[in-house]
Amino acid sequence: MIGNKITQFNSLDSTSNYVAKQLISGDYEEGDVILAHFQTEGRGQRGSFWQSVSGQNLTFSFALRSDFLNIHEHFIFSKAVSVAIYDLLCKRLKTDVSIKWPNDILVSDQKICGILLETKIIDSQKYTIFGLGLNVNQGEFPIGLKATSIALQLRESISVNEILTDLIRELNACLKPITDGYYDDIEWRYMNALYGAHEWINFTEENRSFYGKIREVDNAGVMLVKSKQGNALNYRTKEVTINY
Amino acid sequence: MKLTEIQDLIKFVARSGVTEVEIEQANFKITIKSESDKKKKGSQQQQEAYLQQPMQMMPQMMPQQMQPVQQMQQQAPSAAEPTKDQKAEDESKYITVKSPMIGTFYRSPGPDKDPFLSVGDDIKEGKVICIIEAMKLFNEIEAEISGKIVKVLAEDASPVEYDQPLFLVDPS
Repeated sequence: MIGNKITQFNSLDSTSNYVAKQLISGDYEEGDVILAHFQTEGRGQRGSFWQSVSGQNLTFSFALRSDFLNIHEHFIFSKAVSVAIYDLLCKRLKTDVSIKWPNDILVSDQKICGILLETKIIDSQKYTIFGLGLNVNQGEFPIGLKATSIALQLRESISVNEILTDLIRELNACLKPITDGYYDDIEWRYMNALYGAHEWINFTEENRSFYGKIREVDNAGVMLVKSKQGNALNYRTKEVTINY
Repeated sequence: MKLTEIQDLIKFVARSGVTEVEIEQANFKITIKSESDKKKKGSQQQQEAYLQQPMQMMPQMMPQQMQPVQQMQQQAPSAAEPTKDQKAEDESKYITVKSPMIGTFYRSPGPDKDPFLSVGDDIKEGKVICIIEAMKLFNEIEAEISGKIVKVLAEDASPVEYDQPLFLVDPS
């Protein structure tokens, strides 16, 4: 169970780092949530920092054992977390919500969260640390950042703890089937929520831009795109950009 | 220069077939060298070790991999000089640790951290040797063999292919 125990900190370097330290020291129980109101070294993809104003947003981490997952199917965890956040936002907001490959969530074509997963090997046991950041009450974002928050969408602020409780419920609902070995439902729901799976969207590959539809995303995260010209193309994260 | 720009540059150099590129800007200089043919031949003849590789993948992979190695061996006697033969023999006792997946190879746990391993370090089965990132998922990769690092074969923060050699290990 995720969130049996929730520990909150005013400030931490990074909640995922804290979970990793606890795992190493043996003080961590699977599913424990570590939450910080402010992260001094909150990470996006290596080196790019997650923008978060103190106390306004939800930033937390937890870990699950992941020995059962083959290295080529780890992306199923990403799918499950994306679907959990997608479900939460669909229930709360009236605006368009979609998942942007690989694991961004778009609300009215703006980013609302960040998901970062790490697998660590501690005493021959494999763990996946989930790091989540969800914009809840942040009212302003740096110019040029296509970002939004739940409050900006609702036009009123909302309790961060209430969102946390909801999100933990959704995370348990989406991750339990995975740890039990059932992937089909999450795979289907991920595709169903995916931006570009049902409509033609614009992709940029190096200096070339084209229209296509996403046909499949496998559990290694590789995306199969069918271009409007009828070509079948495979992509990994850094080779292609989805324009939105 | 941004990390992504460097990665793009490495990709470009790899694709162009150029062996060395040097760029100098104010306060910044970068040299990118690609492996010579000689080195590539050497590494293909070395023993192969797989990291966290699922067993069911092995039979499928073997036929494809055997072919180029066999061709190489046929060419080797006529093409290689005696000294090169000697070197290949020495290196044959080493084990090449290969990437179990496609992604970006990182030698350290974080941008400002020390590398997991450097040349001369001992590795032990189960010890973390690098991180490979794919799809915003950072995977710690553990050693399946024990030995001493002879050579680091992939550049930090560079894209690696499935089965690409990462480290050369002396198991003795």
